[in-house]
Amino acid sequence: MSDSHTVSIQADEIEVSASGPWLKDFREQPRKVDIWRKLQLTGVLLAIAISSATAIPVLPWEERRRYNTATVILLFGSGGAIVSRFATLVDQWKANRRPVASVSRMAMDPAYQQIIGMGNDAVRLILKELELRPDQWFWALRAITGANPIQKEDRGKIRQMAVAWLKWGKEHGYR
Amino acid sequence: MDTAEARDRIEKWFPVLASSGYRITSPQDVNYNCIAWAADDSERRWDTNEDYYWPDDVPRVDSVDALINVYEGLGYAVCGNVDLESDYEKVAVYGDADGYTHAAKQLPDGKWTSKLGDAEDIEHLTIDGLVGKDYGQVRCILKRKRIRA
Repeated sequence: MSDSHTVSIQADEIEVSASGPWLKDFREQPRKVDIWRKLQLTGVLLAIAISSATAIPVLPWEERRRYNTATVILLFGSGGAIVSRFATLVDQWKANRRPVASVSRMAMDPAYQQIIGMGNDAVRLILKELELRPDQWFWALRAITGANPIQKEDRGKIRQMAVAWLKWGKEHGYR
Repeated sequence: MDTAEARDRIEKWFPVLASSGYRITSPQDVNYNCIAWAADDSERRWDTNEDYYWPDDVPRVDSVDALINVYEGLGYAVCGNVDLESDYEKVAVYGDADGYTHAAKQLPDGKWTSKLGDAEDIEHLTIDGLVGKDYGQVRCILKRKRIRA
């Protein structure tokens, strides 16, 4: 079971403003999570927490300060594993990215292909990424969903293409 | 923009570039690619994939010939040399066994400008600076009469 909630970080404390069945456990062990992985995937701090808990790698103070007003997305259980995998693959894709002209060459990257292989699990995450940092996600979205919401006059205009896909995502229950 | 990290990354992609001379002229930008940049368009990405802009009268195939057709549609014609001709602007088309890989445009001073994939724009002294694993070889030079403002 997966769920997501918006919370905010205040200095070195986590202020959870959402509600959910997982929240009680989290409040009881607010500093204990398996994985506390910060990613700059989206321009916000994406924290992946898994509730089984051993030790929390405490973020250095300076990093906490840097992100202390950021919004985080907290995901538990299987959702966390999916996000973690997605984040790892995005990191790999971006690290291995070559200066190619053609999207078809870019999309042949193994990490990008694995993201496509995640299927529907990846769609919501891609759309979130697209909303915050538009990039060449259109090939993956089309490959997974079979949809093509981009109008002819918007072809090649990355921001308009992103808007079209975000609208599509909302209409199809992905956001 | 012109950071050590960026230079290190670019010089790993193009080992010849450092010795042939270049400078970084823009931040990274995913909104356009080299094909668009050489066509004086920094608002759209030109690509044969259906999601992207591509001239209606050119087949959406990744061949060097198709890319030459794109620039011919903009008034360019194939020519034989890279030398600076003050009345003409020139485009270099790069390719490998799988098709086109890159396009660079000559500046009025004889240097070249290139958009490196989704990364930075650079100004480079020679078209050979980008020859190698990613862009293959220069396959064609085209030119058109320069439009004076």
